[in-house]
Amino acid sequence: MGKTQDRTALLQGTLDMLILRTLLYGPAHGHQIGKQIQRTTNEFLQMQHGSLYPALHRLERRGWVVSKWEMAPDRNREFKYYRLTEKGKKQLVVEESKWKRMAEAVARVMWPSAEES
Amino acid sequence: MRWWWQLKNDETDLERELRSDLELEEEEQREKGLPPEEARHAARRAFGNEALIKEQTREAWGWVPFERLLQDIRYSFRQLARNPGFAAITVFTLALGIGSTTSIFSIFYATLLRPLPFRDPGRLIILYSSIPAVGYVGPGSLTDPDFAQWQQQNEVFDQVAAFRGKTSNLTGSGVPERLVGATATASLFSVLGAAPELGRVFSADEQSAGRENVVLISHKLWARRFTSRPDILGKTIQLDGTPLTVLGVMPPQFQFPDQPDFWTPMVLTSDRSNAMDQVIARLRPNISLARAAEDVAIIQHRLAPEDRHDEIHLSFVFLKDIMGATVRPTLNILFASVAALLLIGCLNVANLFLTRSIARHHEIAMRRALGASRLRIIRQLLTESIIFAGFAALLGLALATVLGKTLAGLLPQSVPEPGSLYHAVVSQIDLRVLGFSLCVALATGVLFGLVPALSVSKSNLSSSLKESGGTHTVEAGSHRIRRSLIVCEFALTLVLLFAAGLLLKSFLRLLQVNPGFDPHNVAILNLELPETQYKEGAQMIAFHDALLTRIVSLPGVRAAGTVGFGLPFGDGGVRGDFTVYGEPQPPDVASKLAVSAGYFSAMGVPLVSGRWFNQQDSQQSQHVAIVSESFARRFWPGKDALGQRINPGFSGTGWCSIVGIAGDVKQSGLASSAPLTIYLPYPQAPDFLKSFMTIAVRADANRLDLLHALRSQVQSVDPDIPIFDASSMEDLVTKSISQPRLNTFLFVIFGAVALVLAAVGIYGVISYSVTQRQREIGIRMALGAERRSVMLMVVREGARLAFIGISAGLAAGFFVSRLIAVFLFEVTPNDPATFASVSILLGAVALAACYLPARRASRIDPMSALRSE
Repeated sequence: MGKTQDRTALLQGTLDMLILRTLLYGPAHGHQIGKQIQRTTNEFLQMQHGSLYPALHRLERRGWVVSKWEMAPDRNREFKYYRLTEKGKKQLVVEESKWKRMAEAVARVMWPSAEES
Repeated sequence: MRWWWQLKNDETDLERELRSDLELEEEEQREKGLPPEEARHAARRAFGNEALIKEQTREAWGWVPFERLLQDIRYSFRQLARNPGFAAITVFTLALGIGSTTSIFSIFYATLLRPLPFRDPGRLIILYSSIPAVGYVGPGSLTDPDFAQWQQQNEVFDQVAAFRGKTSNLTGSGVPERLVGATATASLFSVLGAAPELGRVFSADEQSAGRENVVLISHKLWARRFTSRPDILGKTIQLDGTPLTVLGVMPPQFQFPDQPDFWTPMVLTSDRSNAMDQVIARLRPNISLARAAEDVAIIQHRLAPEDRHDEIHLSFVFLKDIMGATVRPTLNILFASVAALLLIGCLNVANLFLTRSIARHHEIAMRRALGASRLRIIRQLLTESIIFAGFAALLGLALATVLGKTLAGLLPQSVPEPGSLYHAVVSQIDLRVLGFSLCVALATGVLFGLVPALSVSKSNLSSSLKESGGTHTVEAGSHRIRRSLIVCEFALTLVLLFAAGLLLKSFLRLLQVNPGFDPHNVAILNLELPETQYKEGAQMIAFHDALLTRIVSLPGVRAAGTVGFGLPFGDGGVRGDFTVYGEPQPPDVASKLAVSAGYFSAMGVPLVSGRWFNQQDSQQSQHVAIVSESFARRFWPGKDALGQRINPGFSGTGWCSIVGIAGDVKQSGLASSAPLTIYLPYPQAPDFLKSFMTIAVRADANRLDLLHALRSQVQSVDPDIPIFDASSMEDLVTKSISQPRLNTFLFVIFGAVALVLAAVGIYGVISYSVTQRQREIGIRMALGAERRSVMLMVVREGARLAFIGISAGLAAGFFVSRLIAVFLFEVTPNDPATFASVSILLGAVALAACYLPARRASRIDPMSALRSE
């Protein structure tokens, strides 16, 4: 139990950020979000769509996204669309800067020469 | 329960969301050209483990603790259903305790502790006086000029007001009615912070002669007589024939001093002879009661150093402390006994839970072994206790509502009386009390329900599991606890039974008391002749003579008489000093009654010697008196009292010759002793005894329309005189013992309930012990023990517990019974016969309760008992 928690905790933050970032383009349902992330990372993030839902629901509880059942323009049936809130937008900025700082920190360790030059 | 629906909603929503997205994935796969079957599989692969996703999503919702709770509740209900007998007994026992405690305390609170309906009631004080010589402690009073001085000179009150009770006859519109009201200074309303619901209160100006013909009426009177018409303001009403202008209507909650129907302004006179003004004041902040009393003592001293009454001590008490003072002792004792009942209930529940928890030892060990955390098990057991307590609370609440209503109806209400302070006995279910009893019950369940969970976690799991069917380890210790619980329960039950026994005995004694008159078939009605219309004694005599003549001539009436104040079992009457001719002033006080000639035969008071009064004993004739038997014995022991002379001590009446001796009458209740009594023929009595008279009419049985006939006779003599408090002597006697009857009734109920609970308790313990000892008993019987001796062995175990409990209870009862001594009549608090009989009763019940398990033990088949292990 403990180990899984560590891993999801690490993944969670990243996944949350990716979802928020994806929703910045506009409202989308779970399937679209999954496809979008997969496509933009050039299929690099081989994630199962299912793992999106716990994250989506968590974001909704926190008030970063809101959801609504809406008609899909191309499919003629309802999907649960998620939409970024103001709070979510702010959160995205926070997550982004956090990620950036971490990436920089990692980069400084990994490629110290690049920093000097 | 909203979260439950929310949870259900979220659940279906998630299902739908996953379904729709999954279908979309499937469609896309199909669009790529995969056959339907493969498309579905591919979609599922891309999606991942659906059950796991749902699980994780649910975690994200944060509902998990609730779901676990739901599980616990479901499990608890399953447990309840599996053992309905246990559940029923537990819930019933708790409900009984919770219900009775809540109802009694609700009355207790609503009557005694609830804040008074006045502004800042904590600083309101009432003048009190004590007269050590006669043992009087109660509301004190001042003369008008004294009060006026107090009002001006004191340095301790924010405001001070004087008031006194007053009765008046309302005439003019419809049937005349006698009203209880008050006359008060205008400051009364500001002292109490009361505002009228309509109109205005009177001002200080209206306390002056010539402007005082104004009145405030109560909400009740307004509704009853004036159909709540708002145009009542400015109208005049007739009180005792005087027209008064209605200034305002007071709101329903304003009932000071004693549920008055009207308030008139008090005109302060300079009369120093009568101290009639009761005083209420608002104490200044930071002034103590003692300081206030000192301050007014100084004023009092300055006022009239010459006629200072050293024998009267004036003091102040807080209004909140004396409201409801008359029912306080009863409620105190009731509360204590109900608490004892709750305790007995809890002991029983503790026992039941303990028994069950031992039986569940094995189950809990199993659940621990299967991976349930200790916390989870504790939470589960807590849930169960709470559910039990919840059911008990519901049932208890229902019980409390019914019981509270009944009790409030049974408790003596204060009747509106001039000059007394109002209190209402009300029942209003108090949620805090319900909560409190609930917590006590809950704590009991939790405490004893948790024992197995804790003991399992302490002890070695595998050894717990190896024990078949759950016995041993926890056994010895918990059985000791169970035994001590039973002993406590028996001790408490004995105390309650003892109290019930004492009260019952005392009440039966009371019923056998001869009041000194024959109360059967005597109708009673009261009337008051207003001073404004009946100024002269002769007018009053004429009224009564005329009325009595008419009443006696009614068919079915055997005798009729009238008595001024002082009707036995009535409102007390006039008591005071007197002198016997040729002797120094005796220290005694006597009851003094003004009666008509027919009074004695109407009441059925026996004549011991001499004669009754007759028509010849008029205003002009020689003054005569009749004295009671004990009066004659007190002053002329062994001699003839007839012809002796006494002075009844009224101004205007001189020496009276004794013409007759009447049997002793218990004037103020069955439990009191008959006072020394002087009867005067009412034409010769002072006027104030003639203005308020009670008419007693002895009639044939079954004269149901008598009251109607009497009323029309009064109307025919004077249509403006209302009759009030019509009753019968039998009713008055019954009412006078309503308090002891209620106490006895309640305690007998409490005792009976406690007895049942104790029986259930000991039955449970012994029965359980038999189950545990099945194997041992089987061996004994296999070795040749007789059935009789097995039975005896079991009964002896129970008898021992009962005996210890009863002995402890006797010791406790010895002290506790003193608390109820004030309620006892001719029974000492340590009455040995009562001690003995309740002990025997409780012992017998205990033996009977042990008999069933004992019989079961004696029927154990040795073979099957040995095999079953």
